[in-house]
Amino acid sequence: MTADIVVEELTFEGFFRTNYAPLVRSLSVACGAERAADAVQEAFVQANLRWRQVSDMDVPAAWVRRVAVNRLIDESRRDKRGEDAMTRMSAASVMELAPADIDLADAVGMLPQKQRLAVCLFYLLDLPIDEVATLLNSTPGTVKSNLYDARKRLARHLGGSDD
Amino acid sequence: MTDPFAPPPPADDDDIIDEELDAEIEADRADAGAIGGLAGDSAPDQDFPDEGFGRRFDAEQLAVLGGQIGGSATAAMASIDRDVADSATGASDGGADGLLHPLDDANFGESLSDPALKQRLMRLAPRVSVEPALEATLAVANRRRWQRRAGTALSAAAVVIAALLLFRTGSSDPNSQTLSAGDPVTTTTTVGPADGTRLTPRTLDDSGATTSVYVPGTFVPGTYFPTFPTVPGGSSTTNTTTAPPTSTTPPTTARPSGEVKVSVGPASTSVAVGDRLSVQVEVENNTNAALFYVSGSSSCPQLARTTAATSAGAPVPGSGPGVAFVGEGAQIQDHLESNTFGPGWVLADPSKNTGVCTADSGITSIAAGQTGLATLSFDADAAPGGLPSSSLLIGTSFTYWPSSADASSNAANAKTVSSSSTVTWADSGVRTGNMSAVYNGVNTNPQVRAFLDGAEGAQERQFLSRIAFHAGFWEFRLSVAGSPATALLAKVDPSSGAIVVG
Repeated sequence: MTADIVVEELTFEGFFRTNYAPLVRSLSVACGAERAADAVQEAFVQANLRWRQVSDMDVPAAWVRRVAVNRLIDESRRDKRGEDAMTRMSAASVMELAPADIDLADAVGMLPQKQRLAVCLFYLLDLPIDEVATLLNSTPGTVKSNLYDARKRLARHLGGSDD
Repeated sequence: MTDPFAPPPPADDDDIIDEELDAEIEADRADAGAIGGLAGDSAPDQDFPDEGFGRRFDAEQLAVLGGQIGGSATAAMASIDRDVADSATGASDGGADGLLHPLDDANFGESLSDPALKQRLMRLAPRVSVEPALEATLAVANRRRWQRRAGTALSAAAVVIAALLLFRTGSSDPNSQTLSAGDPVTTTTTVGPADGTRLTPRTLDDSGATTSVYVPGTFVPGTYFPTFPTVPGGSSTTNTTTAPPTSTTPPTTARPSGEVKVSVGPASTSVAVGDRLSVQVEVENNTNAALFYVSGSSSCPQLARTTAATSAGAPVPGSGPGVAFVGEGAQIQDHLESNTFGPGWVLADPSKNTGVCTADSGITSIAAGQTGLATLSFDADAAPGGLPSSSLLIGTSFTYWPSSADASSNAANAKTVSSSSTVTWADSGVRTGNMSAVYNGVNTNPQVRAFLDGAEGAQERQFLSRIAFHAGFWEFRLSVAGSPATALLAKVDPSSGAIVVG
């Protein structure tokens, strides 16, 4: 007797519920909650419009991440809002954060955008270096360097040293 | 003694609501607690021992990040810098597994792992509500789908209409057309005699007098236009000039010089379905570059297809820019009882609220020495249907000014010639429909009502600009800015007012 294998079809709603919140939360730290939510929603809208193709992909979530990150990067190229997005996010959230977290938010906000994104994608989304590199149109070595630099900057800022 | 490396408590226990991330935080907190426990045994200003820290860099980094390591921050940073230098030179500090970030792909990724940093960063992540976001995302996606379908439909309609127009207008030179009833004709000989003869292609052989007016046109700065003469033979055609400008300041630019010939027709005649009523204006012997246009209107929306064509250069009809405006009926804005965009609009019965069918030739430029021609054509509706009025009035105006002058800012240089003609329907009353029922049906139709009042907004309502009678039904259409394409909003039975398509 062979057991029937039931392959449950991936629904958009299920896909959304699984992937939306982690992605928004992670990108919010890098780019601000409002912009992150907008970018991620747009990515999911695009996924919904192409759901047949997207759901057939090996990793649909990777496609959505790519669309969202591309949108954030494109937006920051178009205007300078990206430069102060983290500051705005921090200001909006300051009442909900412990003092040490506020310091960290400020420190993250002072990172260049690519470093912020790399930090959030790597540490918050637990993406492997290779995928972070793909999302940022970069190389694994550069991503590692960005992460290293980011950590060093964070350490310098939080440690009060200019070295 | 408090744990110096323990992450600060969250400001709000409900700060993070995502269960998956909460679980990760708990796991990371356990990791950090282990690290903190080791580090916590270290006294302030005490160097971290290499042993006991699987990732010495992580511990140092954590200490510096938290700012809670006391006086060891400087030492930690010195250690980091030393390791960077070592990695660059290939040297090593001798630590077996605790080397700081060697910049090679094989090891660097491993050394970047930092659960404590991850935990700290997670505290910065805002709350996220999934279900409202899902609902909003699906709504946006559905709206995009609708817009795509509408755009595709409009594009297809534009192609069809363009093809129909091409088929209908045929060659750009009307003199080479094979004319039949209802074909458009644009030629200076289209104006028939003022004897009631209908202006249709069928009457092209009539050799009646042309109701043309020549306006002497040596326009000298500081003087004004001569009185517009009476149109010969046009018993009920009137022509007026605009009031002379009150300003006597000479214009700074030369005015166009030459003659203006206005051909208007028919005068006091009757029209039938398929007739085309044309108004043409020629600017002849122009000695200066100039701009001009013709605009016109008919009082009856049953002159459904209004076209305006302009041409510049040689006075050969249709040789210029061509059709500048093509409509399918009266502008429905004239049929709206409210001129303010917003809920509460109704489509008003044109038999009660006189509809106006307007056309504008668009601005045509002519160079010095050229002759320009502009034509407006009003087509009587080709389909049988309601004719709420038994007569109609066609009014036109002609305006031109030096090309170097702006029409709005240099009105003193503009000249306007106005003309009007009254015609009657040859078969008035034959096709009168129950227009009150038609408009009542439209205005009470839920879909139309939802459109007029709905959240789709004023932008779409601004495109609600066409009403026409086709194939036995009144059609209310949406037009697209800058395009002759229209999309059907509702099709209404002319007698009962029932919505056939809505």
